[in-house]
Amino acid sequence: MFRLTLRNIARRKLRYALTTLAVVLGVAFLSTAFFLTDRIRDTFDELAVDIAGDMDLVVRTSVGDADSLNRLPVPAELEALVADVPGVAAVDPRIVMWNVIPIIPADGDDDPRPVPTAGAPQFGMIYSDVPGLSQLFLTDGRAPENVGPLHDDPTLVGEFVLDARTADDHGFTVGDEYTVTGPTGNRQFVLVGIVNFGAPDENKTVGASITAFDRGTAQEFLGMEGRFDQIDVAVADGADQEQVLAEIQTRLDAATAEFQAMLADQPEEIREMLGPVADAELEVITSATQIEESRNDFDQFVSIISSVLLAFAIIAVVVSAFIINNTFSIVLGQRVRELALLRALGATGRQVSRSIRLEGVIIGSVATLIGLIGGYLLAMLMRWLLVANGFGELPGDIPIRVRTIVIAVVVGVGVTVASSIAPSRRVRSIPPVAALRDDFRLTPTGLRRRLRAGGLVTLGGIALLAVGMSAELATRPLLFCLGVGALGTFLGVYLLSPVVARPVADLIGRPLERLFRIPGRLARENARRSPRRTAATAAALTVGLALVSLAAVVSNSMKATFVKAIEESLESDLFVYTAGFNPTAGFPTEMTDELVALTESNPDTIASVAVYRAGIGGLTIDGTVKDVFGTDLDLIDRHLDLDVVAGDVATAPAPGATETVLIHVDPADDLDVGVGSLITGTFPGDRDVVFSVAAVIADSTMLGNWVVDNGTFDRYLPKAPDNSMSVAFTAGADRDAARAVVETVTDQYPQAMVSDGNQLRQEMEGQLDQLLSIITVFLGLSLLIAVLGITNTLALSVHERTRELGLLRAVGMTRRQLRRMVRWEAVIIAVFGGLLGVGIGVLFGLAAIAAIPETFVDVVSVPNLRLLGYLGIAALFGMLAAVFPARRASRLDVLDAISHT
Amino acid sequence: METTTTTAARMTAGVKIYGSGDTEVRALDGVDVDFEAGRFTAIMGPSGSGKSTLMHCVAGLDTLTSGTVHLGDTELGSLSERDLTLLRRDRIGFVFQAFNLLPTLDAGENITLPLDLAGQAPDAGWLDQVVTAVGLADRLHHRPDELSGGQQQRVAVARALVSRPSVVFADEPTGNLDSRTGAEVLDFLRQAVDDLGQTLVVVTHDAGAAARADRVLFLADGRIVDAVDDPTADGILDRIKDLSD
Repeated sequence: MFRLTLRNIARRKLRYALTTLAVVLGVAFLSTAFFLTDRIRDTFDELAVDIAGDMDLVVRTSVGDADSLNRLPVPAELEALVADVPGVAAVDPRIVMWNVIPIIPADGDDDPRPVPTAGAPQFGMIYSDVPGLSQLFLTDGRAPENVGPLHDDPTLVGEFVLDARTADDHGFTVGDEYTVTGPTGNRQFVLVGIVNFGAPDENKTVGASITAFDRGTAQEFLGMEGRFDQIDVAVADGADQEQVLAEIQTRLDAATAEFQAMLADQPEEIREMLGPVADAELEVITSATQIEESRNDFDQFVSIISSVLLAFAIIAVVVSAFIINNTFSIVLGQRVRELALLRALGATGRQVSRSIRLEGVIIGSVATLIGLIGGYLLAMLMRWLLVANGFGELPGDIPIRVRTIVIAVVVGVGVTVASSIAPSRRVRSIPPVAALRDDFRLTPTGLRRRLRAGGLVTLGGIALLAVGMSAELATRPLLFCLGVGALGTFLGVYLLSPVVARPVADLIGRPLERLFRIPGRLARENARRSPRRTAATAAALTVGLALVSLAAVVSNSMKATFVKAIEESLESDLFVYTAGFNPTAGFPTEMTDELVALTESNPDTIASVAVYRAGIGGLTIDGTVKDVFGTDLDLIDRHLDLDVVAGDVATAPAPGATETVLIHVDPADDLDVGVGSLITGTFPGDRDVVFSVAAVIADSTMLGNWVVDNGTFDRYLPKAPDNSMSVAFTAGADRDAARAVVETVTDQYPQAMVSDGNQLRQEMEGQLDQLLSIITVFLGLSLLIAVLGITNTLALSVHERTRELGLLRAVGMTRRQLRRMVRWEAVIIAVFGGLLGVGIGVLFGLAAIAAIPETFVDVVSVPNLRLLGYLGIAALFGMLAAVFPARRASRLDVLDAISHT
Repeated sequence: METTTTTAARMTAGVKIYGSGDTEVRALDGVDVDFEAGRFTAIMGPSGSGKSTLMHCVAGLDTLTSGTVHLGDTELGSLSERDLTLLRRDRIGFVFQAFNLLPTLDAGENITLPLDLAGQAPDAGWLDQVVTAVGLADRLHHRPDELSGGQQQRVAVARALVSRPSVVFADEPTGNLDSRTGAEVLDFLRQAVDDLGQTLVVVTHDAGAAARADRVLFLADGRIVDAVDDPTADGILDRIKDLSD
């Protein structure tokens, strides 16, 4: 039986090739997801180790539970204190400042522009060459030197070095003078050297840009005078690391105590000013801890990529499963006589059935192997694409993990074998006498039973969806309702679809018949003659289109909600922000100062400037880390309508509190607090703060759930830069003139974008559209697999109908008419799948919108035109799928075809 | 009748070779034949004698290795694949042994299929006449699987006649039918020649069927070895016996 099975496969190469291809694609996408994320994760893991270098200990402030972005600096005096500890071989103070951007000079018609990174950070650092501790390695030029205090003389030209990749990509030349924009402002620097980051011979910036200055210049230009972010420590050979660590911690604690004691003697003013800094807890950690932390930080980012790739791979596998199952059913249907002959010759039903499953195992194994190889190549291609698009280098071999292979085999072979089980069962019922008869058909479940089962499952699914949409449920049961409901609805529709295949095919086919006469009519008849096959073939397309439509409905509604929210909350006249609305982006303080100064110098046009700062993961309330936003609470009324429900945004702290906070109604309800309530929060460095609630707000579009004054940010989140600004014009001011005034400042900072409310809305819409396009393309790739499924079915149908085709050709159907007939059948199947998919997608989309909190979506907007476009694309994919089978059909030899059995 | 003197189709020095070298088969080995218009010609011969090949070549389903085929004034060898297809559609009618009809179309649609493919409206009077002649007026909306074998063949005959082709070719049209039904189908074919002036070429094994023809050609080893006008069944059987000796 085994040899017979092998022969069968060898003889029907084409049919099996198509089946195999579906599995191959599914496995390939799945393994690519693993291969690529393994490579990315490894790269970051290596990077975490490289960054640590030979460093043994790190001295820094504690950030507690908050995001490490918000870590406070340490006083520069600690350098000497730590270096003095016995057993310390070397110390290297570090600064890692975000938003330090070299400006690419004007070139011909191009204005000066900031060095772009694909979302990766842009760091400013201290250049040092402490052996084993420094992370920067000169490859060209020399180290930057201090040319004097930039503060005192803004015209002084400093020196800097730049990482090799940024220099290469954007044509920075050693010896030339460039503008660099940093947290304090813009300054001129001469590029004196090129560096690699992480390793002497390899630049491991992973897409980030790095500029570095000598220590004094860095502290001054990066706004870190008298401070460092951390101090790296190398322990002397032979010294006990534990002991050194303990000793450093003891001295740190002593220094803190001394400082606080000293502070107690200072006047109130100075105490208040230095208090927050003095509170910050100092800690010393090992490099192992540091590496672990970096890995975890990187992992958050890698996990996003990995989830996206994996989600897509799972969709691909599901779509492939539909195709494999369908192919098995059709092929076995065509082989009834052959299988019956086996039975007649004495094979038991069990043997025949087993041989079919064996076929599944063999196809699954071969396809998995090819899929793994394909996945590996695809991972290499994706790596190349990522690198080419500025993701950074991902050097080294793509790792082949046992886990990847095991999962690929389990899924590839598993899906194929599982798909062959139902058809192999049915095969047992073939009587030997079928070998002699022409008309034996394998009959799967009757349509009536299917109608009942499908109807029940669909109703159940829709009921669960409805419960999820209408009832107030906690997150978990809600997700359960929606998830199981969606699955049920989909399965139900799949079961029902053969029942509706006929009428729907009729409907779609009618205009085709009008247009194309006999080829159209036959296409319609062919599409409806085996509704199960049509439905199963269309199902693969349905999955993809349902997902795409779901995404379209949700994102369109989100966009509508967003636009409405912006229109409602925007009161100011201009917005100044960075491209991409990155919450970690920041402007130089000089730019803010210059903008604010406009209100003094041009009171006739500029009324006020409000500044916004973001503390992502910056505040801990009740053990949960929150995003907190800062703004000028006394100005905000004129700039944003936060939809105040109760209280007044500009209230002073209540007795017992030192800061005020605006809180959105949802968390206010959750915490059961109202205006005047006291809330204790914790800022990085383990600093507890008592807030009084100044107001409860209902609009969280622009500033989120927790809003504090910029003063609070100055005291507790000083590293958070000015993220964006809004400008309110004086009443009656000429808008163009006022804008021109603002642009006299912003034009000096090429990273600044200036938009009025309308432009801002368009900009944000554009961003959402872009996101949707990416999602659509990703999901749309699954449609390509579905195309393969249609091709497969049509090729098998063409084979099955060889005699009909011969007859048609004999009585005068031209090849062209024949191709047309096959093509339009494919279109009917595809549009059928498309209609179901779009329908299901819209239903799921509405369910999702009902479930998503109103802050994100409260306007339902169905993009009809886009959905119609999807149907058009489905039809086009149908045509694409028909190219090969149609050609094959039209090339049939008439005489061979007529006598085909 | 006047029409008996004109030629509907002609093969001259027809040679058809399948394969090459050791496996070469000369299916037609220098065949010269005229099919006169308005007459019923039967082609007989043992299996492998080349009778089907002869029919396929004359009907534009297959091409000669050498020699020429004319349908009326048209030389088939010079036609492209597409022109051959159109020629089959517009000027030739076919009846095959089995599987003559498309299962997805009803009887009426099957009958008008060649006209529909050409985008022509059927001549209503002629269609009526043909449908009535084959006795299918009340079965036009039945699908093939709802018709008996004889009815299916009659639909095929009607389809072959409906476009008023120059020649109708039938390949063992009664091969799958019992003798009574077969006789019925032959009656219709004969009637088409007599009443409608149709030219008919039938390939058959059946001496009874051949006896209904105006002329019988005998093929053996790719050559025409004999021809009998106004044959009788007994005469044909004798001739077959002679040939196989």
